[in-house]
Amino acid sequence: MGANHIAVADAGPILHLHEIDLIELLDIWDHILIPQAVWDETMGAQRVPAPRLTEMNHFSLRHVPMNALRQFIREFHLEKLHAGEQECLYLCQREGVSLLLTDDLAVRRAAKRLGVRPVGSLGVIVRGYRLGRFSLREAKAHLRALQHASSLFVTPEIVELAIRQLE
Amino acid sequence: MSLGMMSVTDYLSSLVQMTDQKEEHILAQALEIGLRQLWREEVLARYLRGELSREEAIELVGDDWVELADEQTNAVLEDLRWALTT
Repeated sequence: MGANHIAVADAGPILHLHEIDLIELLDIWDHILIPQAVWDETMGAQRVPAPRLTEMNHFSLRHVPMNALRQFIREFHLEKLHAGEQECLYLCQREGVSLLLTDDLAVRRAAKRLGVRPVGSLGVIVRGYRLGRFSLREAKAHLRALQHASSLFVTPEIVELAIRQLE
Repeated sequence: MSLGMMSVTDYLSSLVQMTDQKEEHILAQALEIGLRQLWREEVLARYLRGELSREEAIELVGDDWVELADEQTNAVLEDLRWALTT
């Protein structure tokens, strides 16, 4: 299994894909690593039912040691990010994972500084389409659902821009 | 009560209690804030559709919002390139 079959996930894509009933799409990765803070924010807060993720067998909870995390935050000036986001970036570095699922623009910037590729919920849906998980028509419907049925802040214009690229 | 479960009426009665202001005053503020937001979203939508220049959009809503719209657009384009080509 190559490292490109592994991703670390922030809370955003887990919540947003769950809200449009597409959480199973995350199985396009063999393994998704989740730090404790993200687990607490999603399954722990019951915003996503834990059985939905555990049944998929793709998610691994990872412990992040506080001392090492504090040092990492200082070294890379990540103080303004939330705990889950900091832990995700730390995990990417510690485990050598080159892909981070996140819908947050500040986290995207930090990920790129660390040489990690950020991918958002919209990118996950388009990837699912490219891998043949659903038709073009379904992909368009999922992208539009992300805008009107999930808590992700994305404007209709950006969704339509993505749809135009698929056509 | 969590944010996700609150109705408009809940927000209003809660704000009346929390701020000790009259309902009419809060509703007037809400209308103004809502209209400003709708107007800003419309300006940015027109900018993203190419109907306004960057300079015109900045003039209307300021640097920060236009930069945010640009960053979101770039993020989506990066995601699409990755999703469709790698």
